[in-house]
Amino acid sequence: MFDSLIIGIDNLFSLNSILLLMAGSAVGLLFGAIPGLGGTTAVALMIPLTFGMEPFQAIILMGGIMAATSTGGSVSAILLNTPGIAPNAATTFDGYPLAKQGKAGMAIGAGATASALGGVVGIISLVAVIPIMKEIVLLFTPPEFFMLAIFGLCAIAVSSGDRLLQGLITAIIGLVVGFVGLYDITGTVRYSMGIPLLEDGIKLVPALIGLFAISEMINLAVKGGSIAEDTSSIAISRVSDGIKQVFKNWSTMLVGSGYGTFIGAIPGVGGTVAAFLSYSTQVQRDPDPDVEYGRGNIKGVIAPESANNAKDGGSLIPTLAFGIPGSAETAVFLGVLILHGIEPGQKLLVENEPLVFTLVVALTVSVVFATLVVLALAKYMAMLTMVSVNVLIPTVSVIALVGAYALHTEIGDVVIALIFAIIGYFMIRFNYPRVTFTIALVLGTLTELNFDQTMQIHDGDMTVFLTRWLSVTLLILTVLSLGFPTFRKKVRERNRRREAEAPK
Amino acid sequence: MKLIPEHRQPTAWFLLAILLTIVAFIILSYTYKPNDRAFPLMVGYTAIPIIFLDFLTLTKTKIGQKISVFFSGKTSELIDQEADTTERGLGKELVIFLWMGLLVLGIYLFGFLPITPVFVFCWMKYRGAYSVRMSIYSAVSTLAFIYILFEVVLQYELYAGVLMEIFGS
Repeated sequence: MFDSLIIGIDNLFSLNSILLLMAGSAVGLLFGAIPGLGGTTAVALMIPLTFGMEPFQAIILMGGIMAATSTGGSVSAILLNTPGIAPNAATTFDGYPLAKQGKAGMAIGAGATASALGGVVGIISLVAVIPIMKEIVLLFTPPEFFMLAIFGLCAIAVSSGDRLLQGLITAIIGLVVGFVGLYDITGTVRYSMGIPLLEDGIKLVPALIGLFAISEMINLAVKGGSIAEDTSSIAISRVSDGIKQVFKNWSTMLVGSGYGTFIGAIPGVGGTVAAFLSYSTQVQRDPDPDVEYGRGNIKGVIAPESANNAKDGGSLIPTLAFGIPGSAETAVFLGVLILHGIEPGQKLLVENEPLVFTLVVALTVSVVFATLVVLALAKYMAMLTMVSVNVLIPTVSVIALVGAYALHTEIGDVVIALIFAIIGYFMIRFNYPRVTFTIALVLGTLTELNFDQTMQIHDGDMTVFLTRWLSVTLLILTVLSLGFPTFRKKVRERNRRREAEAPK
Repeated sequence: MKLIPEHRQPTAWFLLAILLTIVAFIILSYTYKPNDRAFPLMVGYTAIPIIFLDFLTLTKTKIGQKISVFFSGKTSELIDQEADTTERGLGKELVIFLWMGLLVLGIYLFGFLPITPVFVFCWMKYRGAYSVRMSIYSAVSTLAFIYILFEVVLQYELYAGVLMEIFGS
């Protein structure tokens, strides 16, 4: 293993390899920051460039892209309330309020640093878990997936803050939207109202672009001014404060990285779920925050961003171990490996271990490189929040709509983005949380699908959720996550009362 | 005395629109087989009491206040005080929706590339009151960015508009 690591380092540290890595990171940053593009598109588009390359060079280029995408996505999420890629949606909840308060530099600094450290934790986990990968991934069957989704849905209760009823209502709308389209279990197309575009369901990226980016542009148009509401207090140099915040809140970063690695390793769940779970867990862990979550708490940026990048290492676990991609991005990456004659699975780990370590080193260096670029440019990027809305609105709206169209080259997606923009605007106007809508939209399908699969496999026996240890563990975690914040609050209140009553 | 104070009435209309959507969703669900509708119906029927509770919190009634405190820890009055107080006239909102609607309609009819500079120019000139020169600069730079990135670098074929599809070939 050590020899393979040395070969991996040796492969990377040549002029050609470093140039490839930098090019990959730059492409990843750009594709991550532009809504609707993302890492999958970037990896797919770069495949033809790798035809003449050595396998390790192709891996370095792809590693650079994959590691930098999430970092790029966090920038647009913070500055424009537009998640560059779907997993960055959770970053908007606190990142954008920070930008509005004139603390964009700090938010970008924290987001980029958390991304880098999360990425490194994910990669270290990948290396550590390589020998026992298979056993872990196989533990997850439909009952466990169902319980995992329920665990995530319970986040709705805590993510709503003091708007619980409203959060539940928007979550239900999210679930309803998630029901549209082909239902895999029975093969029925539901709620499409005969519109061909809706037969495959409402696609997440155009919906998120509408809900977060364009709705915010409509809101800015109604309100006027600039994104940063208080431009007089903007301190562009707060990037270093953001870096310090990550080290100060190291446990938030570590928990987020753990979520990212673990959930990234489960095929089909993905970074979006990881980021949301990490965010909601952070909210639960911190029932008495200095700044309310959703109103610019820096920990609300650190938690999802560390999960986001840690999932890259995690999703490579099943991809490399037995050829099951952990995400869409790694599915395309799998294609690159096969194209270069590399067969994933045990054989890869045994016969081509140096290549695995080349990827590990490339991912590590790239995630750090991308972060350094973002940190170096953060103060210039943050200036975007001071630009007049009448310059931002037309340009961002058009680019966001191109992004909504580009992913599937479907003009109907542009209309979907507009419809969700109007829905999103009304949510902003009447103070109904968009966070819970997004969580339900992401997890609703997963919940229904795995519930039905479990019922089919186990002949409708509901007790199956209580007889499998991992399912029970997840159930206990769900109950604890719901009860713990209230319990802790009560204990603190009691302690405060006692302190007040105690004789001085 | 009105049941719902005037400043909360727009929220009540919004809630009513959600309720109607959910009712339509439930009715539509019954057109599917039991296996296909079980989960959606469960969700749909759960929504109705929650919407009703939220509706009650908008009223001046005692029960409405109690529900508000139970679910949010705050009275409706306190929530009103903390709410965003931006003046949002319906007319102003409709104008913005119209701009966005025209942008999407323009993209559908003429495609991304012709509409991008026209939209950016018109917005900056007529809504932002920028000079013609500044508006042209922004329009051209946005067009160049989209064209170079999507058409040249990524080689996407951006939508050319339904009119081009009909008359162009």
